[in-house]
Amino acid sequence: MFKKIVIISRAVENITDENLVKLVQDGDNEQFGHLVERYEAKMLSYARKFLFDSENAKDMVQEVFIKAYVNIASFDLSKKFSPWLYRIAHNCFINEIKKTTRERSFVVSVDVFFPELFSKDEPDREIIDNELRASLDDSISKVDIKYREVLVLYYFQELNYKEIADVLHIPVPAVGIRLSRGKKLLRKFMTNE
Amino acid sequence: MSNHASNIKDVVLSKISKGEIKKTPKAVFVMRGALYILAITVVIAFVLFLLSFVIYALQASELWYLPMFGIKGVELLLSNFPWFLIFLALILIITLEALVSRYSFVYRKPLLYSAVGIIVIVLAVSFAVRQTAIHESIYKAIKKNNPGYAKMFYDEYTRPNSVDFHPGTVIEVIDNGFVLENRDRSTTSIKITAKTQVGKNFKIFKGGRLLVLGKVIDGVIEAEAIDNAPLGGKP
Repeated sequence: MFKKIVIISRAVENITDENLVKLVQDGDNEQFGHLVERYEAKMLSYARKFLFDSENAKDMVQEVFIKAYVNIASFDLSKKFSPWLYRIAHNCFINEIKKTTRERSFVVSVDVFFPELFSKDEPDREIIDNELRASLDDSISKVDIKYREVLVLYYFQELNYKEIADVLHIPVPAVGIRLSRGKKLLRKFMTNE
Repeated sequence: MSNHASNIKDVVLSKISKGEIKKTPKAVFVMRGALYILAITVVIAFVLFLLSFVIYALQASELWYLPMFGIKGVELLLSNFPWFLIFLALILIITLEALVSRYSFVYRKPLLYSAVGIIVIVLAVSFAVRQTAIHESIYKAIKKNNPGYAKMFYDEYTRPNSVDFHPGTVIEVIDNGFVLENRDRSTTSIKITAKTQVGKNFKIFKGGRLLVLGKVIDGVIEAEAIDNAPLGGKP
């Protein structure tokens, strides 16, 4: 019996997110639990960094997974699951911020119009940002929501530019601009402290 | 894994097993997608209709040819341009941009590129639609069946409304000028003076189509500029 559970457990580890989604779409709803397990820590970290409210973060993440389950049939199996889930989380968190704070969310930003004029190549996450990462937690709450989310997705969730673009529905070069400006703001706040 | 996390999994799975949350059927998403595509198609069709109508209206009213009179002609064209229709088309283009921006091939590119792309494509296709003479057919059908508002719409935008622009047909050549039959069958005397600017290949002959710029003074127009209507001008 124990041996069987271990085998199943190993088998699940080898199944891709997208294949698990396929199983859920086909009616094996229990498999959704594995998706929750895989992403719950990431989602909680994303929510805490974005919302700064640990208790509310738990409820929000629960809502994210419920929405993911309700809409699971709309997931396109030819695409990656994680940006799809992050997109749901992004929408939930933005709605929560609109409800609970006066923080202004942006409708259309200038950097989505012609970001290629300003964008740079994707920076090396490890080399450049170790010193920045250490102080991120303290200063990130002061950064405008527009830049804060990109910083969280890039440094804490470790999504790449294209994935972040898919989560936020913005041009890929605009991710670079927001990241660069977000880093400048962070450094400014850090040096002021 | 944190307690929070395992709670979340348990709560979600419990809600699933109790049937408190249910998967939305795929058919709903397919239907939504189809409605979205339908909305995009309707907006595109409306924009194309509107912009091709603007081109048609400018050509039918002969305002289209005003730039051949230089700056004065361009000024007159701009002051008589169907700006309301352009404004409507712009709103529809913004709506279209908003509708298509949910697709990754659109939002991954800078907004400027997709906006310019949409405008260029819509304008090009509008000119192509104009070549089909669809508006002539619609106007003909409207005149025949006489649905009120549609006739008013076509009538309003296809007649030259400028008081300083007079397209018409020469019905009599007189000393220092000619008599022009206007679109509404009324006649106006045109006086040509030394100050009148005339086109390079300008010719006056009975039955010829002319475009005249000038103010009406005591029932006579002292022509500021005058030229033959290009081929294709409304007879």
